[in-house]
Amino acid sequence: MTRAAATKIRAVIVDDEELARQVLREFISAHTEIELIAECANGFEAVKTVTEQKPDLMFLDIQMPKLDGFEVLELIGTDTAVVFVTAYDSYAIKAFEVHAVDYLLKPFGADRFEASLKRAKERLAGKLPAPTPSATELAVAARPPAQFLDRIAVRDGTRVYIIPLAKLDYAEAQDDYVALAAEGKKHLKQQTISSLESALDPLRFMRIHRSYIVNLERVAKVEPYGKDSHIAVLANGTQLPVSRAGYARLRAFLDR
Amino acid sequence: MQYFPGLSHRFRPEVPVVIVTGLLVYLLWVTLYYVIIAVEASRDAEARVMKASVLARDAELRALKAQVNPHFLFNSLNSISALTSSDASKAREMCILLGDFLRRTLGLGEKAAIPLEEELSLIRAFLAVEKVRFGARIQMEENIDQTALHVPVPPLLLQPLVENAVVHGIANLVEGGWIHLDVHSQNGTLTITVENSFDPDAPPRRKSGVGLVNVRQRLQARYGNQASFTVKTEGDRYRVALTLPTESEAQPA
Repeated sequence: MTRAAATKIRAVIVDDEELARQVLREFISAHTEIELIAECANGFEAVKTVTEQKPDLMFLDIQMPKLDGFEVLELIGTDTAVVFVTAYDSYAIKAFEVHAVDYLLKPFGADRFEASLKRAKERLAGKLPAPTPSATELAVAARPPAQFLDRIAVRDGTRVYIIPLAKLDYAEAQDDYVALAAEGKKHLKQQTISSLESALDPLRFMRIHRSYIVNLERVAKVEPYGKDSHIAVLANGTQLPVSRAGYARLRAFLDR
Repeated sequence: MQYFPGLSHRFRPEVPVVIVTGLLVYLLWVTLYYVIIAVEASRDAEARVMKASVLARDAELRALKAQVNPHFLFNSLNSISALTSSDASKAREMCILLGDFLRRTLGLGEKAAIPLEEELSLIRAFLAVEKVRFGARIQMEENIDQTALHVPVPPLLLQPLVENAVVHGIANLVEGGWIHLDVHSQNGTLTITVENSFDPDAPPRRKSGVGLVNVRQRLQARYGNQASFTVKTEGDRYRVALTLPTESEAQPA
């Protein structure tokens, strides 16, 4: 393999519309230093492709079948530089502007595409830092106000699981991850428990402990535990520790 | 008179006058009271009618403002942009289709009602544009009662339902999906059903339900109890059904 080939930028296009992929394909074809390694028509394919082929660059649509662009971003980690491509979404655009993620607004011309590509190359060369904060926080920021999550996507290898929030029993903080307990299984997701908490409807989920968020519908009873602490017992028998502040919140909720 | 020396003092002649006057004053107050209540009641009723008409106007305005979804427009322009280099004549065709749809929506705001036929043409123009975008992913099937074509309907009543079927149904299905439009007119009632396939596990759309809420409000404001609007999901089928009177007695104020 020649040196030039080794430094080719490996790119992926993710969009459910053939014509939208076509525009990007055309603009990319003008660049010999970019190798288009895959095109995906939905979010599941995108996650699978990133996991298996580890591309350097991804052009990512937001509204797609199966998984939307933000869910994909949350699942693929930060090794791939992502340029969002979208038609119109005022909240998302605001979030991009705040978090310095590059994005293309459809329809876009070659000059705007070149500018994005230049930024992406700087990112890949390490001249530009990866977008801050994390992907999950970008996704939280891009959500319209007062619109809470109603599902969570988690990845296990190349497989993606969708957990509807109605099925989530509780979430437990584990270092940089949260463990999501649903239907007797636990799924790990790279996210802080605080960022998860801020995306959940406070009328349905409560932070009862530094490390635990509980689905309020699942709480069967709250019992004293030891001298002055408590535990929450869920309908399936699971016992979760309740902190003093968590107990006050829980009491206030139950006494309503 | 001598036997009752104090009588003329006790029964003073002005007493009946005082009583009558008092009674009259009392009656006057009572009348006044009822008049005030009646005036207030009628003012309330007037306010209610005003409010209903303001709500109706509001709903109409919102419907018209939302008539061209920016998503639809930007995505269509992006498709044209793609076609310009790969298939110039198809690009031109799409410009014409988009122009046709936009022209049909213009001026609808001034009309209280349009023949159903015109609304159906609008839907077809809309779908013609979306078919370029989604290709074979859209399967449309119509079952239209020909006797219903001249029934007056509020403009942009059905287009949002079909757009909803595309945005929330077809757009989320990798292999595409179908839309069934069914129109029946019977015994003075127009029944319209828009049914589509959808993915129950699709990612939640970031802006949803506005189009349907608007249609429901406009029906309610214009026809009151004479109209109905129901939404039903059954597995992977989504179904919106509405009925409205075919007589145009319920024209807006």
